Amino acid sequence: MSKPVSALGGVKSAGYVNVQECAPFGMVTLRAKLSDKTIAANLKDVLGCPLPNVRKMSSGTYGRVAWMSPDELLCLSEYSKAYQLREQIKKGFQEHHVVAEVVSDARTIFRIEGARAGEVLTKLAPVDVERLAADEMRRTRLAQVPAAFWRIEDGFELMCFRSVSGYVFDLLKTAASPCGQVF
Amino acid sequence: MSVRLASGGRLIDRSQPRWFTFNGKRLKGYQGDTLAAALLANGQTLVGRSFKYHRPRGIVTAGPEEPNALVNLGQGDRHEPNQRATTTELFDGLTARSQNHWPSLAWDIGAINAQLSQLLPAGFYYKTFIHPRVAWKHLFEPIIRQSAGLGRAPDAAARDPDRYEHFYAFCDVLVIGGGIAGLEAAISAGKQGQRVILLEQSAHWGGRAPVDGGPDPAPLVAELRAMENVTLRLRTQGAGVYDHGYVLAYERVGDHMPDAPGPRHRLWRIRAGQVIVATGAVERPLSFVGNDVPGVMLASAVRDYVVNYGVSPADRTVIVTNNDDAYRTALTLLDAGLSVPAIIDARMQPKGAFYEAAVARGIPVKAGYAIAAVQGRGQVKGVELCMQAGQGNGVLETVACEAVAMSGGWSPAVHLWSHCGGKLIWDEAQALFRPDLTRAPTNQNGAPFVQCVGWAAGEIGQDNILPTWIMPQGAGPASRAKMWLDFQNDVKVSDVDLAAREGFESVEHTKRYTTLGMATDQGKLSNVNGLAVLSQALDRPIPEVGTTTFRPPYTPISLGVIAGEARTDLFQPIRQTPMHEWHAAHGAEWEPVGQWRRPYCYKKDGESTKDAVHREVRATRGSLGLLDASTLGKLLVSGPDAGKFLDMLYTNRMSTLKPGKCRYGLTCSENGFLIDDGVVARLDDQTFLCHTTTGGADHIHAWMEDWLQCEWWTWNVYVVNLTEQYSQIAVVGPKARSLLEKIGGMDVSASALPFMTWQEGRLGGYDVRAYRISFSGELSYEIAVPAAEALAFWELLIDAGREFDITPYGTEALHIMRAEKGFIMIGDETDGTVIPQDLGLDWAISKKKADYLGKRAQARAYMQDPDRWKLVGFETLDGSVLPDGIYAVEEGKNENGQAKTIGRVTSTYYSPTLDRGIAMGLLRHGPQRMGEVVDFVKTDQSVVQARVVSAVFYDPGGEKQNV
Repeated sequence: MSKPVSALGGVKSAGYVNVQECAPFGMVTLRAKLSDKTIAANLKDVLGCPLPNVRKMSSGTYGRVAWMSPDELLCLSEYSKAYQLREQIKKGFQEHHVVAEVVSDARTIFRIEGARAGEVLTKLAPVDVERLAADEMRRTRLAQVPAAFWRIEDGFELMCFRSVSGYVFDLLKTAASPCGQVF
Repeated sequence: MSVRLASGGRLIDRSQPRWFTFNGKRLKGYQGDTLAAALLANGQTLVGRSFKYHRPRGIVTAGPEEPNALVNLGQGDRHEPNQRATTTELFDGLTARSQNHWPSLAWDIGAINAQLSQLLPAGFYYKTFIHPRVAWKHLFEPIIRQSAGLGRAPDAAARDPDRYEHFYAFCDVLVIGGGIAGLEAAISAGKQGQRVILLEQSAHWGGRAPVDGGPDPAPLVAELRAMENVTLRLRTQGAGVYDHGYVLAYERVGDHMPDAPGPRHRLWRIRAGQVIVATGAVERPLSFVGNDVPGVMLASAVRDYVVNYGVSPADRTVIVTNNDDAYRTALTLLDAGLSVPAIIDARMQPKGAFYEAAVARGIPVKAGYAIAAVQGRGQVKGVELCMQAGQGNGVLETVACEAVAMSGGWSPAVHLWSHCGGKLIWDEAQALFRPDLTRAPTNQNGAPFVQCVGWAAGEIGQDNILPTWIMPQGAGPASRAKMWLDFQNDVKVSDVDLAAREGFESVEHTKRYTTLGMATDQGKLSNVNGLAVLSQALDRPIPEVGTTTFRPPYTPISLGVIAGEARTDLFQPIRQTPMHEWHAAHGAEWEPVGQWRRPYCYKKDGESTKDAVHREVRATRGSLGLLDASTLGKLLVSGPDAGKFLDMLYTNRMSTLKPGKCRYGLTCSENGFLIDDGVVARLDDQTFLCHTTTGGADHIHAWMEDWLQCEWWTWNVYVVNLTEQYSQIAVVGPKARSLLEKIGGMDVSASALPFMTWQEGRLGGYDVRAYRISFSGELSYEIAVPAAEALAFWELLIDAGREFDITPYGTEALHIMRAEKGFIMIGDETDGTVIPQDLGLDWAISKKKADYLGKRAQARAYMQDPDRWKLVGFETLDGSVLPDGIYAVEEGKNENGQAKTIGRVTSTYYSPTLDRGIAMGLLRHGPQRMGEVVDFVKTDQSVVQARVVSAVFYDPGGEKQNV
């Protein structure tokens, strides 16, 4: 196995908000019937966190676990731990109909940092960023492609599909380019 | 002549001169001027020509309702036609040219149309351009095209250099209009802690208040600025109100400083809980003879120019009115030291404070009078007076003047109220349509979500108005033909009269027949006057005639702002595989496949596209080719019911597939038509990996979810789309195994990894899954690697493959090789009307399964018809390549006298392997006609003959792929 490379090699741009492609995250898609109480209980044992509420994230042993839909979670981890995480889930849910698959390479994460990071996102996504909770992951669209984002200390992390990384980076760079401040 | 006054002008800064050009002439204005104000300040009262008769046109208004002062603004890449001078803020270096005249503004040849006006009445187009038929194409259309449009279109080569963007905003209360009513509404909502956005289309707060003696807006604005929950925005027009509290607003960020960095326009896409419309009102013109002569202006606009910009429209201005409000203009003009020779008031007994003030200051008020005609052609020279009650025969008096300030009363700007279904009522006392506040637009809960305040709500207080639709009221036909309703489109009172006489009763039909209100100003000045004239002609009350429909946007918004960021590189997302840059660096010529870009071929220096494709085919068949197949869909289907589910999704049986094996499958729609195909690999007892076509990946994923969520929701199956997690690289050709053995790792021998099987293992140090499948007919491995390692693995293969002359190949070589093998391609052999049986794929359709999607449809009599066209191969007798899509015909004609078609070509290529043209196609009774020769007719009617053969041209026994 060679060193994994992100789609754009860690590209960055400095506008009135800074945009940077992050090093790859580990990601495992977990599909299960989340309304099943035994699934929720098992989740605590396997991932060390409670079942996240609708549109929310909780924090577990490997990292954050995000609610994606009534039958899907996204488990984040270090890149190198993704396969281990998948095996742990498979082992922990042997009794259940659960599917866990590594999707780390299918995604790209960007970090959008600066006081006006939310403003830049609001040029591209129909989201009331002002009212986005600290533990919320918002699945939405960025201009013409699907995306999801959540708050970090000084801005946001945004996830999109790998194949459109170039498009998404250019979108963010354009929206954040100098003198584009709305307020 | 209009001129700059020595003092005054609350919006201009006289220490900041701004130089601009109009029709090439260099002129001076000041910071804070609009282009219209600066033109008037320079004595430029003639600013354009009307659409139909090329009549001289001057500035009528001081706002967005302006119908006349439209200019070609800017040059080169920044040239834009039809820009309103009244809303264009002046900047240094602004260039404007007037529109719709030749050779010059002052002397225009098109003005001859005015002499022919009797030949160009309402409905002229509909009556004239009908016969003779041939004249349409060669005479009428070229002439209409030549004369259509006011401004000059930008050059075809021009490219907009500016940037545009969208901005999503959310609020509890959106207030549109920054006059006093809007400011107060915003303060009230802000004090309740609501999240408020307040928009004002101009560059200044306060609306008409500073000109008309209303309250000072500054303290209100200061109070709002201190509220954290309130957002204030100037130069931002509420352009349209839509369902569910959705509002579009148009911010002109950089129009007034064109060379500044940053976006030029911004489209605000607002979700508002409540919308408060505080858009004020629009003053109506009066209809008298010559009311379109430059120098005739709205009374409110006249005082706007004096107060806001320190510009005098004329030394002597006659006021003509039917209400009190215009008296303000008279007093303002006197205050500025200008002359008001007379106030012509259509009312018999004007009274009230304004009237008394005017009389006290010595202005002659002509009560009960009307303007019989305006003197002057290119500029007002005076007015002839008559009695309003009469017919206008015999001029009673002539008053010399250079401007006429007219006021027919005010109409609330109800556009935004009406966009989403707010209803109007006719207010008899004030002679205006105002919002019926009991019938507001409703939101998703059925509750009202738009309110109106201030003048927009009809609270204008013009009860003392005398409704005056034409002047004088009894004017005859000759006069009515010189009274303009729509200044831009040249619609006169006589045109509406004619429409009524010809049977047009609906105001919507009359609008389209006469073009009243169809110009770029969308009838802001002409709407109410026009429908009032129509109501008189029809002898029906005004509310019964009603208004035309108000549609967004309020004024035209730029096309650039609608597109936002979606232009050039961001026009649409381009999907790229991890090897994209490598392909680009190695001569890839791109082919769009869905939103992906795939290499069509890789061109070497000096090589033609065709030569590159043929080289790639020969190299792959001869030794070793490499294909980036990452774009293929990869859908993981897993769960206890996965086998059962796939038995329904595919026409053949997938549940019997053993882990470790691969099987080709077909997917059909409920109507039996073939929609996708691909290889399914069984990963374990409960898990399958389904490969789809590149373009079908998202669709088939959604298709699977649809069936699982909506129909078979008790089945325990989950689908995960892994298309982007894995890249897939096809290693193809006689040397494929040699290459994989060279890089080393898992056993890829025929016995360890036979045809149509797969295995996980390591190759060249990478964790891979290798599938022994072939779309080319050669020995072939498709290797899946995680996308993050794909480029490195690809490069490893390229390096290691040099000794085998490894050749990356593109989609066209792929197509040729699959066609040589007779493999079908979704989208070539299928077009939404083709079932698998048409393609001879009966072997891939289970006869034993109780059901699968499409089974019942395929049993319909039409699908079972032996006359359906079926797949065969074609070889031209002369070896040439058949044109794509060409039809095969038989003797005779059908009932419509057309050739009888019996088939068509679906794929056709030059085969470098066989050195001749090969084709696949659908032919009636095709499989029974092997060896027969059929005729294909080209578009030039020449005939190409081809022999019907098997669609498998190359290695029919399949020995090459199964080694």
